[in-house]
Amino acid sequence: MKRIAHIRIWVFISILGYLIPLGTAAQEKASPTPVKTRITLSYFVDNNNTSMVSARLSHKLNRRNVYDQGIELSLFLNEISDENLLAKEVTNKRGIAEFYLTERFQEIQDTLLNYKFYVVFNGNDSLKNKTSSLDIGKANLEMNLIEEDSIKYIEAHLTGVVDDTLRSIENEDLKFFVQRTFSQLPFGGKYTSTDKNGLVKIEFPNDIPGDESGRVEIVVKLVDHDDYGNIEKMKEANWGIPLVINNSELKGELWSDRYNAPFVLVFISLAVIIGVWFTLGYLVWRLIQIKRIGNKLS
Amino acid sequence: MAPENEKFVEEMKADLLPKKFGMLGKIWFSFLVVLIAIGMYSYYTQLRDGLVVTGMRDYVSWGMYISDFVFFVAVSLVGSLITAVLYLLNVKWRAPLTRIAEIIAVSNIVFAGLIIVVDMGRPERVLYLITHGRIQSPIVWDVIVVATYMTISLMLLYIPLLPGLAFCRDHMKNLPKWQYKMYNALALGWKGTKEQFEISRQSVRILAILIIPIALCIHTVTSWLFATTYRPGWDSTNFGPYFVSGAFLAGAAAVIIGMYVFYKKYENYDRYITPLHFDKMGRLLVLLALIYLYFNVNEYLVPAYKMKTEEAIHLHELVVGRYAFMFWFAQGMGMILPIIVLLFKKGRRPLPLFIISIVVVIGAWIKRYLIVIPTMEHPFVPIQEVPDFWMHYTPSFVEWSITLGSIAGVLLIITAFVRYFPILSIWEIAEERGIDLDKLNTKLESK
Repeated sequence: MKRIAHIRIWVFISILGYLIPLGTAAQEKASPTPVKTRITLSYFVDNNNTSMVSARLSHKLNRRNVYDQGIELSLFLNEISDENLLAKEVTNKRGIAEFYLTERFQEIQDTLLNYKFYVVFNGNDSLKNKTSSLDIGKANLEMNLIEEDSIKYIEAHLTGVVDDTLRSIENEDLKFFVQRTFSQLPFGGKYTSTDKNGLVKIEFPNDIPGDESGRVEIVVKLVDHDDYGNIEKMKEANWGIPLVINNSELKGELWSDRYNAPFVLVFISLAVIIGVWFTLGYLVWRLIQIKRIGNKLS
Repeated sequence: MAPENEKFVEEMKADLLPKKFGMLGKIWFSFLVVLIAIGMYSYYTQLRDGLVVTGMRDYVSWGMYISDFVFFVAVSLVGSLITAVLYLLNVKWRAPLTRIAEIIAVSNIVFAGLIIVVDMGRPERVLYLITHGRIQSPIVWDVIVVATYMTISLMLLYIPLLPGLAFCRDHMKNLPKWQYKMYNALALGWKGTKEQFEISRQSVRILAILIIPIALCIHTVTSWLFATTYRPGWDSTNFGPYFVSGAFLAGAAAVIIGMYVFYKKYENYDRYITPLHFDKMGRLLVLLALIYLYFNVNEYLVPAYKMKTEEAIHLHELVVGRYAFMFWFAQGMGMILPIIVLLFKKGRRPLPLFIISIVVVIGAWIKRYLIVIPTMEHPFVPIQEVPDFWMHYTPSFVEWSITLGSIAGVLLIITAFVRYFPILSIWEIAEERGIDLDKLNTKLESK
């Protein structure tokens, strides 16, 4: 009897264990609760003074960030209204929507010292609506390349809005790079903060390779600033060590590029290929002769 | 013409012209079409979602498609063996087998080319192999040699078929208009004149000479795709002849399967494909299995003697590890069994030989799988801290269905060919039996 009672309890627990998740699943299906979302905003100004607002939409799932793809976000300037709508963009697979601020914003930009951006997500069945804002002050970063006694210097000047006036910004870290093929090579050391005139002057290293004429692209950046966002400027200079390309070692090797293939290999391959295909061409001609003979007899 | 020859010609006319499919043929045709459709749908999903739908990951980036490619190339090599090698050796009994061998060669080489495109993540870039290819790369050699071999095989199928096409055009009755037009166009106005026969014979002779080095190249180059890569199991100078001998074995077995199907299923074909042909092919199969076994011993014994770390891991996986069953099946059933059974005359009778050949072909496919996959799973420099499923390859449904679809495609080409063209070469059989072709032609023309 005791054993039967045990079995009954296990059967009951098993059925319960099966039904509870089913019930939960049914509830989830019937009324899915939209989850909270988050919008992270960044502001960028590139070398051509083109501004861009980047918005990343995400939500939490099992304590992990999940980026939401294919969601339309709207960008407004200063207030959320139809007149102030700057652009609409759809998030990519990393959950990012990039709003490049072109003509319309450029017109307004000149008349304003501070901008407030709103990015609005209207929500859907599974994600809650969300609005995030970003305050940005107008700022400018300039770079001058100076040569003094054959020493090369880069001078960067940062100005920005403080108390509604545009002035030089003191004590801000700027970062200097040389553009390489796949990434940017930092230089300039630790002490690259602006002085009371908003200036940083650093020496350009004399051991950086450039292209064949010594050309390098020098980049200066203000990164993730709370008030001004990200600003990047770039200038070219013939300050690098000219690159000497010596392909002599690679010529005529099996591992060379296609233009430096070993002559013997190219010659033999082409001779064989041409020989075989010429023979096949000859046989096609013979087939045409078969047809001609047939046509004559017809 | 002697009266017995005249009778023989009339019989051939009745027997060898292509016939409409019966119910069984239609079911077979539909079955193949369904398999191909499933394969094509799978390929569509692969194109849509990318190679992530396959079991291939960073470790095993050459999976089942590459083993299919090697298998198809291997089987296609039989065209050169039967049509060229036996032709140049003046072996008379090969006459009824040449076209079977050639259509097997053509259908397989077509799908070898296609399966490589399937293996490409970005198939639209296939032309880059030519526009950006390096002549130093074995992959470029393979592209060139596959295209050349395919062309030669097609010509070797087509040129000896000309008299057969004319025969169909002139002697098949109640043909649909399109079918008559097809025969008429493809026959190139063949009238069976002495001159036409001479051109045809000369062309076949040239092709037979040309195809042998190309055939050796195609499978040697395929083997170099592996051997020029520094990996356990592939780092071998033995790979060229190892691949070529295995290819001849697989191809010869495929021809025997084809022979048996025609011998059994087509009325009166047993007059042309006789137990003698099975006996000869059985002997050939033993010889090829012995040669292949010799290269296998070389391939496994030498690394096993040295037991370098990575080679030891690879061999362990094959001999007693995860792939042991497949390995011993491929070695035992695919090579040793045919040698033992076919040494006896009874083993070379049609049915036992047919069964053995099926086992050999299955063993040949498994063998190609074993050449590609286990090696990929054990690189010399493994990637650190990768997910477990990167290290072990299991083909996905998409790969299985595309593989089965490709095999069905090969069989469909052969089936469609048999439906519309004479699978046995009327003129070669006549020649084999000593009938003067000129007289035969005059006789047929006057009918």
